[in-house]
Amino acid sequence: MMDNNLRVERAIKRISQAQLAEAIGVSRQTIFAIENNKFVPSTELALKLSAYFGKTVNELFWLTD
Amino acid sequence: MRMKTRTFLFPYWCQKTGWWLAAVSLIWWITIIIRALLDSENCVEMPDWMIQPTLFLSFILPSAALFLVCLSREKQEDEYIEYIRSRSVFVVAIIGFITALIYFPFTNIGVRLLEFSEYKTYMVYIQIFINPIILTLLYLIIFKGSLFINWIKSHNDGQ
Repeated sequence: MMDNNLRVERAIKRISQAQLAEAIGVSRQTIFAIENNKFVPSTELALKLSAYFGKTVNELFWLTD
Repeated sequence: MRMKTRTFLFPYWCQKTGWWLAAVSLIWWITIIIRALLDSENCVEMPDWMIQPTLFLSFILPSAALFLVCLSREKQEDEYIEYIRSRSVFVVAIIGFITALIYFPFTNIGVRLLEFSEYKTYMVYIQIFINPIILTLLYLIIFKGSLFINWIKSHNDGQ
């Protein structure tokens, strides 16, 4: 299983799902699905997200039990 | 479970065309049903030369619409859409496999029991075409349904 703190990072940056989706080049539903752990993004998308927030991939996503 | 569907799907405008074709075929079917009801009341039979083209259009139009809608990209075809698409294909493949195991032996027995060869031929055509159409329709319902449910949930989630 995987978890992430995308919602927290988004709140810190004060941007909406739609704004983040537009910046990354995906749909708002994709951001929603990632935030709610319904979808595990590809390495490419994870790298795009980490670059956008200025964090490493490990800081955004981590494995849970 | 993810496949790169973006490369072999039709562009988004084909989906729009498909929906327009679906609307036309719906109007076509409503016209046929009304016409059939009126004709049966007035005891008027359809001329023979009209039967074949009518049957052809009645099945080809909705089938073309269905395949265009199913095999076209979404407006923003990203990896999550690809994931939902792959999942829907997988579910339909399983259902298709199970129905093929159950359905074909029974329909073959049914066709063999038909007395007239003309009906047999029609049943064989139906057998060939109806299963892929039903499975494609099922795929469309699962895929679009998943997208819609996700859209509702993400909409309720707001910011």
